[in-house]
Amino acid sequence: MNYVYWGYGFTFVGLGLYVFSIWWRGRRVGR
Amino acid sequence: MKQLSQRLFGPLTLIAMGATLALGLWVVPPDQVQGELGRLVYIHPSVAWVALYVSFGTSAIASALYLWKRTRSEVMDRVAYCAMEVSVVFIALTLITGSIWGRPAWGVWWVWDARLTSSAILGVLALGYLALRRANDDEQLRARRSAVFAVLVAINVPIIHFSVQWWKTLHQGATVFTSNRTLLIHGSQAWTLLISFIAFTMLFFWLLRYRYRLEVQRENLAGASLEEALASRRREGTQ
Repeated sequence: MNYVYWGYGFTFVGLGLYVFSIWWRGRRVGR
Repeated sequence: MKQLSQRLFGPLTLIAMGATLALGLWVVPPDQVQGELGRLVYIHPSVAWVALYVSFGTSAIASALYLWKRTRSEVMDRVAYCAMEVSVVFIALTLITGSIWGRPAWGVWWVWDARLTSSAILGVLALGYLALRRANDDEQLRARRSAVFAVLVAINVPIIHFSVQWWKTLHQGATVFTSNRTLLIHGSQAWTLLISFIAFTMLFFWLLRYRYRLEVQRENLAGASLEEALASRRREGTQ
């Protein structure tokens, strides 16, 4: 089950970080 | 009506992603052959589907439309660029989740077989595209070069797709539909797999929308900075 949690973890955290990067870059250009 | 659907798209995407997470991890029973490990089937194939076909496909089609004079526009160039950036994220996740699945299933984190190698090459080429976008060229020249590159790189997608048929690989063949169109997955597993494909596809379009908006803002800011710099130089000239 550990491998399953790692797989889901990487996917959801990775996508979350990408969403955060879009928001962060948006803030920097003055949204 | 259009605004309502746009407003609902984000929450619906989140609900679909939440449903994929809950169904895949806790609701659907373990697989008969792979046991708990089979739960990765609700993540890895759907992420790969978005990486290869949806996001990379969107970028390649937008690039082809940019190269065709009748449909050439800044919008196509931006869509191609933004979709490629999202594609890089999904290709990375495809390789990571595949590797995590490969370790317990095959006994190795990585093997240089046809499917894995061709997918890794696509990742490197997608990064190459992003590097090409950073070249300090004339905007139109950069857009044209990038579009040609994206269309050429898209040749790798059918190679990845058919790699499990053309070469002897460790990676399994078609799971959902076999070559004779028979469904090999049933019941709650099939429904959850379908929901995961829909969820990740929706997520791609949601990410693309916000990434596109960011790109427009960046271009506007760059344009405004240039105008300001020109005005400043003009003022200096008149003094």
